Amino acid sequence: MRSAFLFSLLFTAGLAVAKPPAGFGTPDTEITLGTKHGQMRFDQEALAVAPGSKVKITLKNTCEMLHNWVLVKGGTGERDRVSGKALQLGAQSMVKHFVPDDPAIVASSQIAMPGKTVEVYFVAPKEEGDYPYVCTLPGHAFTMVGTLAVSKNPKGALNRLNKARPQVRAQWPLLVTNKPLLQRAFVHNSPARSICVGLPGGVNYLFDAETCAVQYGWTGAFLDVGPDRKGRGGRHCKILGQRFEVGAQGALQVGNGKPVFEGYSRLGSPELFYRVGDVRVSQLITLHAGLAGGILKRGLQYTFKVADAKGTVTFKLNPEQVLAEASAGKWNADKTALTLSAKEAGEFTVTLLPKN
Amino acid sequence: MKPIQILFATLALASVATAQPRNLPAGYIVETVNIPKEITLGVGGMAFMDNNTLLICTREGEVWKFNTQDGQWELYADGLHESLGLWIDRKKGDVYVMQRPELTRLVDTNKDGKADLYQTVNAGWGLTDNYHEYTFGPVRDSKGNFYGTLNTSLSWPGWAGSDKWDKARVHDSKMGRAAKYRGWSFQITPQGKFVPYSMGMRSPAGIGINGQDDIFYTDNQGDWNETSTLHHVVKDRFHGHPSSYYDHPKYIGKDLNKISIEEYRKLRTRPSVFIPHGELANSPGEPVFDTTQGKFGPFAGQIILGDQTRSNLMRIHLEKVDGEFQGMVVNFISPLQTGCIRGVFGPDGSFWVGQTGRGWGSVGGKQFGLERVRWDGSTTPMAIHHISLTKTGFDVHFTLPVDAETGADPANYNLLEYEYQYRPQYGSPKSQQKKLVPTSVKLSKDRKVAHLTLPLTAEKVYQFNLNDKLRSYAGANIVNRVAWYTANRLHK
Repeated sequence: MRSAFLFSLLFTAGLAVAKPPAGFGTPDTEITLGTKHGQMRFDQEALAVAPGSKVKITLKNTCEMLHNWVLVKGGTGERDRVSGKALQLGAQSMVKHFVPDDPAIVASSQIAMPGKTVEVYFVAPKEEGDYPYVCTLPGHAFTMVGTLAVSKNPKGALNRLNKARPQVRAQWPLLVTNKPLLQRAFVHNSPARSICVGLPGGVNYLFDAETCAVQYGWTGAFLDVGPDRKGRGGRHCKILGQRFEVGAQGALQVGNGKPVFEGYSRLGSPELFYRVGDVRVSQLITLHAGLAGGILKRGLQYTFKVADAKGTVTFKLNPEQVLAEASAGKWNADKTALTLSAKEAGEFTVTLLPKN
Repeated sequence: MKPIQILFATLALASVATAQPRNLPAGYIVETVNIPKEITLGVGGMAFMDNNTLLICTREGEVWKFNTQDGQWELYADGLHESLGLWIDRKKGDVYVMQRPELTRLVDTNKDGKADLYQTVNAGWGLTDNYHEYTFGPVRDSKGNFYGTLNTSLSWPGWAGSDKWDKARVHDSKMGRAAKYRGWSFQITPQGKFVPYSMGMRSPAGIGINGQDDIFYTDNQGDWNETSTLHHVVKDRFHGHPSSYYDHPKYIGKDLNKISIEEYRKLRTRPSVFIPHGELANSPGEPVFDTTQGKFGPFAGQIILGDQTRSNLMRIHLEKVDGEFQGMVVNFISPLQTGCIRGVFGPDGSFWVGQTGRGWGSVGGKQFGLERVRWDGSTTPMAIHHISLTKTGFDVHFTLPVDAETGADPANYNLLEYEYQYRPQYGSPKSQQKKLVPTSVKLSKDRKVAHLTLPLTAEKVYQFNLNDKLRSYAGANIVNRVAWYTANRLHK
C-alpha cells in the first residue's frame, strides 16, 4: 500500500535522470554502488577518492525498496542528524528525495526505484577526511551506511577503512536480514526463560517469559548462539550489539494478577501474549525511530491490546532510562507510571527511545 | 505476503544403504539419509506428520519437515530453546514440542506450511541457566495427558564452575536441584495443569509409552544410578536420585543429608532393567515400543533403544513378575554412524534413528545424523528373541530352532549372577559376582525354547553368555550372544 502511494507521488513529480552538470567534464573516478537484497545494506561500506577529484557514483538498486545516497561532512553524529531531519520533510519527502536542505550535505542522489540506477556527480571536498554516507529513506539510516575517505592516497585509505570496519566476532552468529528473528536462549545476566528478538533495522530486544516484560534492547547485530550450539551447548549466548535500557519495570499491571506467559505469533514482528489474572494481553513490539535531542535514534514501540480489563491498567517504567510517549492514558507527575482506563487499554501504544 | 520457504533437496532417494554395521542380524539393512549441508540436525525428537512427512526437532531449536519419499527438507519452526521432543496429534494436526522452558504447541494459522503461532501449553517447572537442566518428552497417554522428565542440575561447584547451583546435593553427589521439580517426571493434564508425577531421576534422556499407557524412561549411569537403567514411571514413585525430595511436600525444609543411603534404598523402586554400562550402553536415549506387529521383524512388542555414546541399538523385552515389570536387554545393531538418541517407526514399519554426537563423543564420530533400519520382510535372523523368568530358572527363547545337540548342552549357557551397589558415588562396579551353569537344559518340542534350570535369587542381574557353538538348526550363528536379565523379583 505504502509503496504504491510513493510510486504515484514519484511519477507525478516528473523527475528527470541526473546528468553531469554542464562543464563537469569526464569524471576522475567512477564508482558503482549496489544494495544487498533484503539486508538493508550498501554492498560497499567503504569508498575512497582523491581530494578535489570529479566523482561519479552510480547507485544500482537491486532491492524491492526505494533507496538514495547522501554524503555528509562532520562525522556520524552529523549523519544521524541529517537522517533525522530527512524524516521531518513530511509532504516534501518524495519531491526532495528524502534529502533535507542542510549545509552538512556534500552530495546526494535522487531516489533509485527498485531495479533502477541513479547517478550522482560531484567534486570531492578538498579537505582530506572520512565522510559518512547514508540512505535517508525512513528506517534505512541505521544499517545503510558507509564511509567515503577523501585522501591523497585513496588505496591506502580504503585499506584502512576496511580493516577498521567492525567485524561481527561470533562462533555462530544469527543475523537479521529482511524479517525478524526470534531465538529462545540463555543470555548472560538474563532470565532463564529469555526470548531474544532481532528486528530488521538493527534493533533487538530480550523479553522474559517469566515476568512477561522486555528486559533490555540492543542495537547492531543480533545474537551469537555458538555457546549453545558448539560442544555440549547450554552456555550463555551473546548479544552482538550495543545494549540500551528500556526502563523495564515488569509486565502491565491489571489488578493484583500475576502475569503468565502464553506464547507468541511470528506473523511479521513478533506479538507476545500473556495473561494477567483473567485478562489477556497482547504486546506487539516493533522498531521505533525518533529524534532524541535532534539525533535520530532507535528504540522500541509496544502496541498493547488488553481484552476486557475490569479496572484500570498500569504501565510502569523508569523514566531516567527512556523517553516515553503513549497514545492514551495518563502519566503520573514523575512519569513512572501510565494509567489507562479499561477502554483506553483496549489498544494503545508506548514508544520508547533510550537515553543512553 | 508469503514468507520465504526454505527448501532443500538432497537425492532422488531419501536414504541409501552404504557400509553396514558390524553387528547386524540377517534380514536387516541400514540406510543413511544425506542431510543438506545447510542443516545442523542434532536430533531431539521425531514424529510422523503424515505417511511421508517426518517432523524432526533439533538441539539447535529448529523443526524440520523431511519428506521420506523425495528427500526434501523444509523448515517448519525455529528459535526454540533446545527442543528435545515432539508429539503430533494427527487427527487435529497439532504439533507439540518440548523445549527447555516449556511445552509448546506449534500452529500454522495461515496454512503456508510453516508454524507461525507458538502457544505455551505449560511451563510449570523451575529453570535456571544451569546447562544440565534438560527437559525431555513428551509422550501422551490415551486420556490425553502429556508426560515429560526433568534433568537434575549439575550442582557440584567443581564441575559446574559456580556455587550458585549448589543446592540439594545429597551425600556429596554431583547432581542436585537448583530449581523446582528438577529430577521429577511430570504430567500435563488435557486442561493444561502441571502435576508433579514421580521423582528420583538423574539424567532421564528418553521417555516412552506402550499401548497400555505404561510409561518408561531411561537414565544414565552416575551418582545414585549404578549403571544405565530403564524405569517404569508410576505416580508418586521414587526412582533413586534423592535431590528431588527437596520438592516433595512431606520433605520440604528437611535435611536430606540426614537420611541414610539405606533409608533411600528402601524408599526407591528398583529399575525395571539394568543396562550394563560400558558393555552395552553409556547414555541411553528414547525407548521405542515396536508397534509394527511384525513389519519390523520378529521382535514386535519389544523396546528398541538407542545409545548416544555407543551408537548402538538394543532390544528390551519386558514381562511382569509379581506385579512389576522386569526383563531382558540385548544388543541389536551396532555401531551406527553416530549417537542414537531418538527413534520412531515409519508407516511402512521401518525404524528411523535420530542421531546426535555433539558434546559427549559418540562411536562413529559424526556430529549428527539420520538413519533408517529396514527389515526385508522375510528373513528371520538367528537371535535370542527374549528371556523369561520361570519358577525354576529361565526360558531362553530363540527366533529359530536351535541345533538339538548343542542347544541342549548346559555347558553352552554360561551365566554370571551379580548385583550393583546403590550409592551416591558415580556408578557402581558389579559385585557379588558368581558364575553359574544351569543344572539342566531341556528344549521345547519346536526347539525354539531352552528351559534352563538353576537356583535363583531376587534383586540380581543374570548375564547370559551363549557359547559360539550354539547355532541354529541350519548352523546359523547368533549375532548378539550376550544378554542380561534383571531379576528384581521372583515368581511367587
